[in-house]
Amino acid sequence: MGNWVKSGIPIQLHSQCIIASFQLDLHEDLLKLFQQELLHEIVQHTDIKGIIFDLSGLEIIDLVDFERIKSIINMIKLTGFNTVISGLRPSVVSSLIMMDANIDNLLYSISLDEAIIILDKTNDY
Amino acid sequence: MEVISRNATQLCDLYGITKEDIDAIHEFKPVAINEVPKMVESWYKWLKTTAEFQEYFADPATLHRVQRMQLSFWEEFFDANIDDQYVATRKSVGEVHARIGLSQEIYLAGVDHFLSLFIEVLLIQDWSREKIDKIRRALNKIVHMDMTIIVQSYEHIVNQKITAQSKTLMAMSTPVTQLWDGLLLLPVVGLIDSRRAQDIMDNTLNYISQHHAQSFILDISGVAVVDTAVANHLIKITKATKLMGCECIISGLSPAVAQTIVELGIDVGTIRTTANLKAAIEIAFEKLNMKIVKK
Repeated sequence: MGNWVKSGIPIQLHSQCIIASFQLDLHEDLLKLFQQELLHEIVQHTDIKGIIFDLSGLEIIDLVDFERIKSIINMIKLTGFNTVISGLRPSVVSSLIMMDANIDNLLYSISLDEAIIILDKTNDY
Repeated sequence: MEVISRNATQLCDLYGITKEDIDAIHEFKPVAINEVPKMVESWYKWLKTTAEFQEYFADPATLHRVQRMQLSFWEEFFDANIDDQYVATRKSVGEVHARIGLSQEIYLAGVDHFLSLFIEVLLIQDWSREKIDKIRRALNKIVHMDMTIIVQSYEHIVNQKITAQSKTLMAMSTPVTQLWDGLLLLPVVGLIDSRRAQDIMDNTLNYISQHHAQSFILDISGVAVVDTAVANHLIKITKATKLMGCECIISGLSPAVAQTIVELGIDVGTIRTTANLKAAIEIAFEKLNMKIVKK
């Protein structure tokens, strides 16, 4: 069914990490499609270290978007992998803090390099 | 802080100063103006007993000049030619008071002193009661108007000073520096209010993204008081840096601060805190996989 409709969020494999780069404005339908694509991708690979969400292309993230992203991360967690959120912009961060978003129990990184290092470390334990 | 400045006619309307009042003042003028030099003298006699006198009027030349200015002030007052020029001179009186830092207390005491002396003079005149009442009312109105103009311009200057000061303070309040590659330091000194906390947060987030910092040390040894509000601001800042993928270490927690935080029941969660900057730098270097060794 999902063969014709695509979310438009690229999913790549790099250094045994699945990297998803968000560039379009997030809305519900798009995130649902993306969620399916990503989970399918993950179960096809068995030797990956984890998933990286590159959010550096997003100018605005509201609380609802953030909650959806978190729920996708929880789903990924169920498949046994960690997810790192990478490259949040300063303006996005301060608005999330102002809206009192719950940011606990997630991994964050400043850049993709750093995200890969974090995933390396979490797999060492 | 915008001051509503009324022109002369609007001020007259505000205080209900009419042609009648001005005529009454004019009638009183010849009597009153003769008394003014004596009043000025008695006023300064009183002023000599205050602490302010030594500060402002120690120099006889200054004293003489100010006394002359006071004479012309009252002359203008009894001319009661209330136009924009009149308002402007009153304004400049207030501005001068504000610049030299003369307190409002002394100025208002002075106005009251003169007003009561004028009333005394008025009451010993052999005039009808109605006339005296009318003049008294007119005196009050104009004195109050003068007071308003002067106090308002005083306030305006003081506000200007405060705004300028807080701007400078803001500019130097968030000196984020790079200690090492990927390691930033921000020493905070003074008080943290919500505006400053926001400022600190914006600045650090920008710095972190510019320098790709992985560790960030917030040194609060210079913060005077840490209460619930301040602690919450600090927690917010650390949360924000965490979202950027940067570990925040708060250093310089004095014993007093540690005690208050626990006593207030503030949940600091997973924030790394250290007593001094040295420990914080060690933690940060550990995170960066670096070590300081002696040569």
